[in-house]
Amino acid sequence: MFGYVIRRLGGAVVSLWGVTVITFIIAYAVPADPARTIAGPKAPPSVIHQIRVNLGLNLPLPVQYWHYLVRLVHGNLGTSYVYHLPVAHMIMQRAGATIELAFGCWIAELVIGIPLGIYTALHARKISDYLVSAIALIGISLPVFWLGLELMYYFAFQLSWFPLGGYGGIRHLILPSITYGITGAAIYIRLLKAQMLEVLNQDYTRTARAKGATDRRVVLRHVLRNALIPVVTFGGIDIGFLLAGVVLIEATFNWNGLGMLAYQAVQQLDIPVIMGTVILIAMLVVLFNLFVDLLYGVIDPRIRYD
Amino acid sequence: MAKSWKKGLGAVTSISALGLLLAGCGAATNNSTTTGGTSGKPSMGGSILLDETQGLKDLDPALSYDTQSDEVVEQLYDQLVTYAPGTNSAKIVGMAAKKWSVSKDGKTYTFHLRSGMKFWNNKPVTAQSFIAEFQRVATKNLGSGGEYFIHNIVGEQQFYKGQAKTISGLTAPDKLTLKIQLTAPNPAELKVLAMPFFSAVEPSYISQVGNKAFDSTKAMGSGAFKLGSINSSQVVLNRNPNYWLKDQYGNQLPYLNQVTIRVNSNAQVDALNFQKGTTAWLGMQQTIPSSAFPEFEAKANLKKDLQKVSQNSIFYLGLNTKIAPFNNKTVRQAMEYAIDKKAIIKLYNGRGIVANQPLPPNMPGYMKSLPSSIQYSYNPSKAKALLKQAGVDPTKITLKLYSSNQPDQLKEDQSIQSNLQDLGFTVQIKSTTWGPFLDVTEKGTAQMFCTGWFQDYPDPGDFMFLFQTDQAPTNNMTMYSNKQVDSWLKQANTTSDKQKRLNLYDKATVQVMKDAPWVPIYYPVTYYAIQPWVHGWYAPSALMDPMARVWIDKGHSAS
Repeated sequence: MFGYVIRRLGGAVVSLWGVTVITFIIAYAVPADPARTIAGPKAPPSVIHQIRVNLGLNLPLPVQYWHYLVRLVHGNLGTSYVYHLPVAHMIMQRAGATIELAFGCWIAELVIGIPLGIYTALHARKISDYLVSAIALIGISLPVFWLGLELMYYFAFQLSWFPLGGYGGIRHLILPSITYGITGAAIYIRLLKAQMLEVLNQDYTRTARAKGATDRRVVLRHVLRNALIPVVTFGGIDIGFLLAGVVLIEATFNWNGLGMLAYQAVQQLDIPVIMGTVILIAMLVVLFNLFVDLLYGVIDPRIRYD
Repeated sequence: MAKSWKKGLGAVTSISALGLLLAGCGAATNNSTTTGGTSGKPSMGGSILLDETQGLKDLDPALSYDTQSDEVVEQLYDQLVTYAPGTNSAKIVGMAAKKWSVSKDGKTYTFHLRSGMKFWNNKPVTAQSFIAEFQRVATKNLGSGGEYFIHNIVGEQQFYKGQAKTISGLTAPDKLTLKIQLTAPNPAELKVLAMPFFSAVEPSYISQVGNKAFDSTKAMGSGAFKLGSINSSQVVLNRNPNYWLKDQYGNQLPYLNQVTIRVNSNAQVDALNFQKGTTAWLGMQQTIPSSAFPEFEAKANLKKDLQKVSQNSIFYLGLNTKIAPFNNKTVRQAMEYAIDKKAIIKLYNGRGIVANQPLPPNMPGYMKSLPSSIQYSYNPSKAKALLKQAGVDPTKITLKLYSSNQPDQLKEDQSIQSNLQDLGFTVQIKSTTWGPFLDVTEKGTAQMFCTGWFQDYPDPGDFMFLFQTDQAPTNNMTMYSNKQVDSWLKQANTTSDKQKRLNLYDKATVQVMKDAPWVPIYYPVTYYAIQPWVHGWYAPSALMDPMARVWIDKGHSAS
């Protein structure tokens, strides 16, 4: 297993390098000038030129990329063009808010999604299944910003049960988590239902029942455990993305996390911040994928790493 | 003159979202400087909370050139002069300068500074504190957008080019006297000096912390508020207990103990926060979003909090005088009759006034009555007749309309497109982001474009220079050129005789409107929402929120 992890980490480094190349090219392919964005719309051409020189934007693209890569290897994500702050510092400032929000959203998805997934699988083709599935479909179709605003309007503005957006304690976390939970749970419901229905028809499930196991034991011990593997896979990737910042939720709830940082950086063509956040996202996705692969072995002992 | 703000017409509702500089706002229809339902003696203390949709980019006054940055910088730093309190007041009063004199030739300004003014670290504010900042602004590799504005100081260009170690036109005969020598008289010089670029700074502090930190996290000013804390989510300003300014009752300003500016990008939620009484106002930085605006207009309790202020800015349709068919004056005049401006203003919830000339209504030089020859109004049949007279068959012409794709802009582009299609033209809308938009327009290669102009300071010269031949193509993007207009504007730029100056601008306005390189469309109007418990706030002529003069009723302090 140790060898497997090393191989995967080696692959991750190559993937991340690929990510830096692609992001760099895309960031520079945008037909806009970061120096102009930084200088502001009123700046005279001489100032824009000076900023270009100060930031090294006048150098050929491969040279700029090489400089970036050398800094990156030394653990330096660079300095924000717009805010003149180290990118690593900006990411760290926002990381706490995003970790909190990501886990809040993820837990809400699972708390809503898993029980309903089990329920619909066990009541397949009954009215209650159609009803829950229909509601889930509506949930997945709702725009996050609309649902978030509606929830905020009633529960924060009218009823004052929760704060009106912003990052803070657990009370601040509830509405954004529920919003994301409602829109995100549907995937877990459908995934788990489909998987459970398949497992319910497997020989070993029939064998378990034949041996006199209770329904509860069959579902929890035999069906759910086996049906969970794709859910865990998806969950791992999901949390990776969530940790990289839930842009729409953050924007809706005025939650200043990594998602907003990346979003604003794209608007302002703040290339070091775009690169920093993209690399972080890629790293999280790669790491959580690895973590999930390792988790398979725990859930299904038949899986071995050679 | 500096490259100023040109932007898509639709951007008026998204000023703060873009983080663009709004160097000034204009006259108000409501001239009160006290808001709220109660008046009386100001009370000291308390704190307020404000929401902004974007964070500030620069803390350094030499670099600050956007509204979010200026909002904070202006509270932290003092300039030589500033504008008298009051909505749309364009009267200059002393700030760090107690008094000043101007030589007869208009080329030498002598400022006498207040004694006893201190930076927060107790070091005195002296003439050298200003010279230091002028030199920073003129330092090439700092990249200050303010450098343009001091080209007229003797020796500035030599300093900028590295040929001199100091700016020879700036001298300090003694600690509290600052002498500024200009290469030519400039009637708007004091308004230039009121810009935050030219604040008093403490050079030893800057060299201690470095330019980067001074621009991002550290500040050392003499202003009404000290920098409490700053991060990408909020800025906290704390009262400077040693500030020099007092009110008429002898209270030492500022009144407020603390101002917290949060970066909350969702303007709809910001509007709800205001409605809940959490934030003190929705102003220049926190523009009421289009979606919430009808509610503010409809609900009596919100409507009474609104103040309507027309801006010193204009949005126009530019017609390139060097590209066919607009190289023909008669065709351009036809365009003046072709555009339904009232319909466009409706697209913006009525937040605009029909424009009929380059200068906005509250700017000196605005002509209340125009000669009948240039009183254009929406009249498609007249437009068609003029096109016929010019020998132009619109059905054979495809026009390219350039604009920057900002919120609501497309609606306006389509309105113009429809107006021109009514005449028979085919119109292609070329909508891009701001950078590529400027790449085309500033080269003078855009046939027709929608953009706007916001003042740097409230002076007619800051608008009319856009028609100078020497400003083409960067600022004069229509490539307009008229030697007579150039000569009038040149005279107006240097004469200190106010009436003579206004007469020159009148002549230029009439000629420009006859030549018709612009179809002026509208002057934007901003609605501010101010809590009834907030007092002393006003919409300044060219600066940001006057926080030093704001006080609040007891019991409304932000927790």
